[in-house]
Amino acid sequence: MTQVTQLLRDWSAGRQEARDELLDLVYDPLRAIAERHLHRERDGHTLQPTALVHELYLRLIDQRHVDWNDRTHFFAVAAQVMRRILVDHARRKKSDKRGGGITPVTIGAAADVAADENFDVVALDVALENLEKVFPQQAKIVELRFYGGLTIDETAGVLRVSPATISREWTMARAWLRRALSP
Amino acid sequence: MTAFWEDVRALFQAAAERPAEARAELLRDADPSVRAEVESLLAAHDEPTPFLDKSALQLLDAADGGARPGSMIGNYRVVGPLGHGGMGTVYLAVRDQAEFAQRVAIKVVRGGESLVQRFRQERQILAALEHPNIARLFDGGSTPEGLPYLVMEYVEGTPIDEYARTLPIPEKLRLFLELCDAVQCAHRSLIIHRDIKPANVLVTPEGVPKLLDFGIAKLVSQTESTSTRVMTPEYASPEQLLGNAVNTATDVFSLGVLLFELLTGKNPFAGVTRSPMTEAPRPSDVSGLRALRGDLDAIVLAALEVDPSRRYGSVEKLADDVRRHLGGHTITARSATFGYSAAKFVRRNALAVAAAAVIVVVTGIAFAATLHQKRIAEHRFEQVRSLARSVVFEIHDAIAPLPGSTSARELLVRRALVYLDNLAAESQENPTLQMELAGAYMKVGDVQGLPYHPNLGDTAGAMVTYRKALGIAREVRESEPENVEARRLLADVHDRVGFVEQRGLRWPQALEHHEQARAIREALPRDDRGNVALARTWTAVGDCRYIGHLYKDGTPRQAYEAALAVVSRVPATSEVRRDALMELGRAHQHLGGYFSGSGHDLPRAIRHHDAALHALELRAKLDPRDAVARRNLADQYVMKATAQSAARDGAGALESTTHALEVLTPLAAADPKNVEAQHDLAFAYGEQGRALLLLERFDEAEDVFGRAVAIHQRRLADDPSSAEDRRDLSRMTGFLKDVQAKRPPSF
Repeated sequence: MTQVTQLLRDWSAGRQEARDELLDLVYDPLRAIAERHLHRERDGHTLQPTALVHELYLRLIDQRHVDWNDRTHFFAVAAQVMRRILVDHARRKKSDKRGGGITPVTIGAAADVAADENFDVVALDVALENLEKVFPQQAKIVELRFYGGLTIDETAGVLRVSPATISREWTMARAWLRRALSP
Repeated sequence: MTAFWEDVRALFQAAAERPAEARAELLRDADPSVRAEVESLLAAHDEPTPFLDKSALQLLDAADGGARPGSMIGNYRVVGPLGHGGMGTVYLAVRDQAEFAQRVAIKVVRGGESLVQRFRQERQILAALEHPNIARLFDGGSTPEGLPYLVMEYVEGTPIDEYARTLPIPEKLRLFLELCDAVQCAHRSLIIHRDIKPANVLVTPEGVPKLLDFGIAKLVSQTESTSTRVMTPEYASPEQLLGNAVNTATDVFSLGVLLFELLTGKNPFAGVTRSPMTEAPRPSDVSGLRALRGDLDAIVLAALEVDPSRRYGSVEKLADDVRRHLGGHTITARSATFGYSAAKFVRRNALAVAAAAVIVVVTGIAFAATLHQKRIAEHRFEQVRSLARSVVFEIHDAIAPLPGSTSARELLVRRALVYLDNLAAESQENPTLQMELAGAYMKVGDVQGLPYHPNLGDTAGAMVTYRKALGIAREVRESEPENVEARRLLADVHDRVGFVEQRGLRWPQALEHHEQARAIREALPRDDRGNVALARTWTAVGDCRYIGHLYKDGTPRQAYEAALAVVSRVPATSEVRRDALMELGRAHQHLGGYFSGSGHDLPRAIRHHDAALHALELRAKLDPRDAVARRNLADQYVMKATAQSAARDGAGALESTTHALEVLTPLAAADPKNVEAQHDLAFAYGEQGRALLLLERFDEAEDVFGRAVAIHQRRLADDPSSAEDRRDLSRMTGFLKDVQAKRPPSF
């Protein structure tokens, strides 16, 4: 059994420290995968984040010893790690640019992406932290959907609530974040 | 959450579901501070532009810069982006110099120099791929920034899933058949698509489907820097998800997903977190369409088999079944396939151990090994060595198969490994001792988990032990290249590693080891013993080629017939006649499986099965009390039953399986921990169930399938890593569903 598998099981069994160990363990491999995307160095891997997380998942997890429960836990952790990676990346970029005037690092800068999809990665992270204080479940949903690339149904599976609930909460979270990010 | 925020949430969610004009009433009575907050959120909610519609990485991808309209890529002027794909950005471009403006699609790929080089090599093959339903590849090169690009036929069309949505089922199937024809054409040129999905199949306004990006996935994934694979998880085959080698069966799987979507409007893996073992649901269950029940369910599921060996062997076969269904003929998807039966290779040695005697000896060694005094070290070394020889060879080989010895053997293995490892540390540069050690490791590995022999079911442990043997045997061969025994031992170990890889369904790796064994054996002096061993290796090579679809170096049939040829050279008077009969039976058996599995030639298959029965009967008669020989005979009856069922001879198949179960049932009961005996029994139940199903004896069929299911479930509880049990379990539960489907309704 791989270490990741064991940690997932421990976490499922209620050992909370296992979650942090898991985060540390998946951070580097996931970052390596993400960096390929961020630096445009990859050799054409499919880009959907679920695929990316799948790649990591298949690499780290011993398929034979994992049940459905473990899997959803894994995706929850991976989404959290993706968030950290993106924010770290943005912060690094920002600090590189200091002196030449601060440019917010945005995603969605290309001409053919709608202007509203341009937003500051770090600002989104801060807004998400604020949302978390008031509606922790909504923040979790954003993490899974936006950073983890999970569908409504998959998110419902991870959080063990109905897809209808996820959909309602997601709608509100989006409104909250959009308001927070609007100039 | 405070009461304030709770109110905000409740009010927002109620209001957001309504159109703007219907909200006023709802908001009117609310507390002013709650109302203000909700109104501000609603304002953000109502903004029409997209927000967080794409996930973070989709946005990152889209942000990936690229060529501006008007800029040049090679001889082509960029008109604008067409889209972002897995491998890069695709642009619409026109050829400037052409007399008429030829429109092309240019894919700029994020890759390295190696991709450009590779592209040059493969370009001719891909450019030669000419088919009305395949988008042509014209050209390629690299941009000034060094990014490779591919120039392709520009297809203006609609993705096939969208196009087909409103078509009646027969029309959908005809469209699908055109697509199959295109894929088949490419397969004939040995080009595999690897990324078939609706987005890669556009239907022109004239209704012609065109497949895009043939061969591109391979081009891109074979660059040097990473092991990444181009695939789309929802459409990828299990072997792609696992990172294993792909072949034409990979495209069969993706076509199966596509067909599923065309028929149901849904992806079979939508909404599930998919693992490589995830089985696809039935199209009729997902869609609720009665019209899909029966044939179409069976066709789609046969294309979506997790195990490539159980899928349609080619796109042609898939297309044939679709055509048969359209023409109202019987489809093949429900008849017997060969994969599972061929996986049951029968060759067994007497390997059981007189447990008590062995443990006494091993405990003595372990005790000796703990003595430290330098004075007795050398003496101890000799002592350990002779005891090792005694335990592993003499005692082991001297004792006939004993049922019920499993627990004792587990203890033996643990202890034996401890002292062999100790001995290994001290035996370097002593070829004689190293040979003994490698042989001893090999035997211990056999007890741990040599497939198709009585073993403890610890295949992972067996692999570790075999690798130790392999390492040592290689060292000896290098230091003494002429040492015949060392080469023979090396070949034996390679074969064993191959068998373990086979059990894990890792066919390419298995084939590699068997091929190494074959090369060594062919260079050795060919006495009777050598011929028997070579036949065994050839049969294994045939199995890997067949089940793994690895036809690069020859066909399975050639390998099996090579096995027949070498084993036939062994005279009836030879002292290895017993083993020769065994191998003769096996080669015939596997040829029989091959011919029945391909479905082409059932009479020929049954002739080979009868020849196998004849050889194994002779073998069993040489030693009437040899239980192993009887089991092999029993298994052969099961093989024959498989072919008989395929020929729809239910009565014959039932008779054959009854013969088999008469032998297997008492053997399995005598030693319930013996994995092989359990496998045999489950397999025989499965075949008997199929025979009963053919005879429409539903209650009895249900009963025997249920027994097989119970066996596999028990096995998986003991050893969750057994891919074979997992596969067979799903096969048996599938049969149980078939029973329910075919059983007439009771009132």
